[in-house]
Amino acid sequence: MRIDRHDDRTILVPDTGGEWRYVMYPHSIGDMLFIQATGDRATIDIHHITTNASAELTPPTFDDTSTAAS
Amino acid sequence: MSWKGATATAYLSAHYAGAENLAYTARGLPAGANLDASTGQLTCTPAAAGSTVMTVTVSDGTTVASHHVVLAAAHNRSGAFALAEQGHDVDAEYVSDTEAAFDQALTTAQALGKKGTDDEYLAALTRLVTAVDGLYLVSPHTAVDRSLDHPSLVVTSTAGANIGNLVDGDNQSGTGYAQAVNLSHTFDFGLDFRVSATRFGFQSNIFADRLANSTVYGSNDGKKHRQRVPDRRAGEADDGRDAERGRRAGGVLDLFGGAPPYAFGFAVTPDAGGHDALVALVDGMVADRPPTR
Repeated sequence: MRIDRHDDRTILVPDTGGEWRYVMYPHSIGDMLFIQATGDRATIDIHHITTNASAELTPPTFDDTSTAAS
Repeated sequence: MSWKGATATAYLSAHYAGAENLAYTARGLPAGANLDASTGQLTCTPAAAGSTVMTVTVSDGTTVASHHVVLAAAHNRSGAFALAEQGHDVDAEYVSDTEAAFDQALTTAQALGKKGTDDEYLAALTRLVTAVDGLYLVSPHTAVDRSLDHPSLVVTSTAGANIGNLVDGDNQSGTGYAQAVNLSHTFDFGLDFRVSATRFGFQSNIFADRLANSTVYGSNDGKKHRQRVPDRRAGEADDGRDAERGRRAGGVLDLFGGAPPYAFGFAVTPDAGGHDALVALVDGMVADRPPTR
């Protein structure tokens, strides 16, 4: 999902097997949020956005930089 | 990163503060690779040279996170060295301690290149890849307009989490008066760096003249500020969107003349009338100074 028309603000959404799951967007959001879904024949349904995620969820996160590699 | 026939291991585990069990899954896992579903440990013995992008996902049952992982395999040990070094630019100027770490990792890997065991050499190459990732440019520039990517450099700023909005090329995002302190925004580049700038630019989300009379100050200690950019006149915009952007602000700004430490910050004081979205672009150079600690 491409957020707010910025290529560097994308969320890679995995196949959840039809289950509702949260994905995190670690940026502030303004009065209006643009969400563009791109992909290969996948369907993304959006049920709601929780704006208090840091208090309500404990999301697992990956390091951005590769811990990489060998 | 590995080479044909050598078994490499990577720990792709996620940060997690919750209490659930995490489950890792992968899409596009190539032949010879395996991802441990409970630990995220990836082992890979490439059957051929080449590069594959796969997607690794972690879930705690409520929230999911995915990222791309590149598996790159070289033909042999010396090819793997070239792969590990990729991303280091000999012409670039890096922050000194990150470059020292890279040099050390490079020397270690080179020394093991001929006589080290596969395991020793792979470990050294892993440290080299990590060191390449850790390289920080002294003066990174934004892709938008080649201005200084100051959000990645400042230690603190009044723009807080919104600072990235200032260089995203979008005048509908930014910081604003709600975040300003004493009608000012301050950007502190920290003790270890000196900054010089040739231009400052501002971008308004609606009316360009709201940023008229903005003034930029520089300071070595965060206490005494010297004015760096004269008051500007309103209405010199060509299209209202890029209003103040990129206008010359009077030559090279010599921000330093005092003795160390060179803390630096600049304050932008918008018009009292309104300053809905303030976008500051700093064009210039950050000079690296070895840490005094």
